[in-house]
Amino acid sequence: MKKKEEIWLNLGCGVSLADRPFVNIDNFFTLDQLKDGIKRKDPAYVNARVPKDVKFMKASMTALPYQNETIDYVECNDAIEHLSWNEVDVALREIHRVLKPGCKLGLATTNFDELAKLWTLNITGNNLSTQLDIDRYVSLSKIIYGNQVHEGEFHRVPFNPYSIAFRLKEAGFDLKKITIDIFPTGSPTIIKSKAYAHHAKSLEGTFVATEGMWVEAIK
Amino acid sequence: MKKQEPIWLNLGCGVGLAENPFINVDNFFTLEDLKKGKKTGEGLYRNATIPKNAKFVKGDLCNLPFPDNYADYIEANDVIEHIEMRLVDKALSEIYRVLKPGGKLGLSTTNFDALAKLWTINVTNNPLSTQMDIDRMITLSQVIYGHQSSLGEFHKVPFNPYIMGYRLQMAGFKLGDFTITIFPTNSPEMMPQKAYKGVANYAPGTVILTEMMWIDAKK
Repeated sequence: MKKKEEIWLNLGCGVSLADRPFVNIDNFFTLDQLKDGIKRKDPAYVNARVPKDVKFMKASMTALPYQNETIDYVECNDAIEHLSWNEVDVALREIHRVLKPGCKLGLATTNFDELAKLWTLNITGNNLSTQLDIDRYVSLSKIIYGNQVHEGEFHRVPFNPYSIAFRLKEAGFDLKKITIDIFPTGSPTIIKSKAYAHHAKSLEGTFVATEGMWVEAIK
Repeated sequence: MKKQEPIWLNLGCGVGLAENPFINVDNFFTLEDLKKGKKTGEGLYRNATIPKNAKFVKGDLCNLPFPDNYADYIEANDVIEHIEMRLVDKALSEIYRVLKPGGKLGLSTTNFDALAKLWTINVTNNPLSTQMDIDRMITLSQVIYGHQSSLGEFHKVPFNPYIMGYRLQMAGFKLGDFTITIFPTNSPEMMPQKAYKGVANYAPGTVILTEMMWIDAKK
């Protein structure tokens, strides 16, 4: 008998889809719209990636279309900060609900501790007299509030290691089964991501890289 | 002959309308919505203030429904940070266009320099072990990203005095024709708002107040 394929979810995948066995999930477009956007060279889809036989579903992270305890792995990269304050708790509870006991969530997000520090070091007191200073301000603003190229690309919640742990606990995860790695500026968080490896290039050449966090939580 | 009433605009007024001679402007509802919502006690509009004979126009801040050189005074309280990053320059240019030569702009917004500092001091490395620590993290998160209780209540752009000065000049205001005043957290002084009278910025018992800026600019 053939072994049943595991179900992995890539939540808030954006336009760059991960390979099987991931099911890519995003609520801002359908697969047809994505393919059409690529064909039309729509700037919102400029970094799109659609692997062969890719699995995709349009759905909200706050209402995952899966039964309880049916998922083997959930990954959520640079997506949780795009939800609003109230949606974050709902989404994390949804992730906890669909995960099988003993299975893992892997989550990447920015670390606001670092963004606040970068702002104070680079922007506070800076009189914006050179183009480099202005570019740095614009770049850091986009990391803080999202790049705003389409309606999904706005950031709405600040996280740091303690606050993400607090909210995972509220969602049902056990604090003792949560680990958080800080990835300093310049070292991409993709190191531990299974879905996101192909994004490495998009981080090259940015003025202000930012410190990210990689969070793992086992149900 | 009757003296002509001055034209004052209150941009992004929200549900608390200012008295005459202000014309209140917001793009998220009509006056009928507001009146109906107040009567039915509907969430967003429950706390609406609608002075007798209040003037209101539904309008986009990036495309003001007024002719050039029209207004004697424009006030914009806690609204510029709600506009998408790429549209801020457009909104400020619209204000400049609509002001009469010699007309004045009064604008209040948060100072991100202070928010970054408050985060670093109060939230970074705070293990959130007491309810007060948690409340402080939540309050500050909402000051940074907006309180998110309705569609318009999301913040999208960080400002500080230098950035505001830079953007005002991009919109046409001349260096020397504007002043930027910082109102520190717990400052006993009130900002010189004309439209916002009697509206306490924050309810008593709020854990963290925030540093504000007041911009006074002349066309």
